[in-house]
Amino acid sequence: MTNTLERANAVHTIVPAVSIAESPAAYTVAVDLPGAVKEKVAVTVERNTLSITADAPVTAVTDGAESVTQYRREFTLADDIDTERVDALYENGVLTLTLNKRTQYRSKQITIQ
Amino acid sequence: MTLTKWNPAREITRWDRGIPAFRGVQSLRQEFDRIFDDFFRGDILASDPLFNDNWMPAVDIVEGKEAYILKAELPGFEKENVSVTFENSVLTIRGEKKQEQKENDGTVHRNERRFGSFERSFTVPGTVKGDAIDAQFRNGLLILTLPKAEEARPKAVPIQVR
Repeated sequence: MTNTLERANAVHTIVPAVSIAESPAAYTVAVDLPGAVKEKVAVTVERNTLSITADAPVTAVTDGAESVTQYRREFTLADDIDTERVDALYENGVLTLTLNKRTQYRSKQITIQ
Repeated sequence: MTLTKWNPAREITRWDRGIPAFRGVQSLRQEFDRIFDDFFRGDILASDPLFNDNWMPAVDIVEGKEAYILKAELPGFEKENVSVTFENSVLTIRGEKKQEQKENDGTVHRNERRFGSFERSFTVPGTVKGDAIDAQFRNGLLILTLPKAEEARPKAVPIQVR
């Protein structure tokens, strides 16, 4: 009788590399997720934690076994980020997130009456 | 004359990194490999976006029964900017990625990602069928399949016991 555990999908977790830049109106976060398929890239914001997970399927050459490389990284967001306005774009293995800042945190000109 | 085991995945320019004693602790070792890779692959100045010229993409090479599979991580590259050539048993992967952001717009808080042009070469065993090499680039991952010639594939040879 074959041991079903032997063929269970193995998961290997990797922390992906990121670049974070700040401009006056938003933060731009770029995450390297080589091999991940768009449908398996998940970006969630819960309270002020940003979570990025993605699955990259891997087929072993030796026996054709399917396993998954999972990318996973979390960040704590500061108050100046508007969690309702996050843009996400995934292309060529790179996830680019634009985290817009809340309007009150952008510098404003105050008119004098 | 001594015979040394031939390593088909030996690179032209880099030293071999096997650490046999730690093979049991697979995932921990892979993490360490990555840390050392990031350190040795780039320059000490590589974390500075202006000096990001000397980096090498991560490559995995696995030998199967019928082919060698080479996977290179090239996130952010466009297919048009990646080239693969095979000449005289040398496989060369070249790529170019220009800096994406305009540096003067704001503050860089963290920059772990590498970009810039690279070129990486590997010697390939003569048993590979050079004209049948297949290359696919999807989601920032380049997968090369180097099929082995018929004679090189392992065959079970029954030996008669007399």
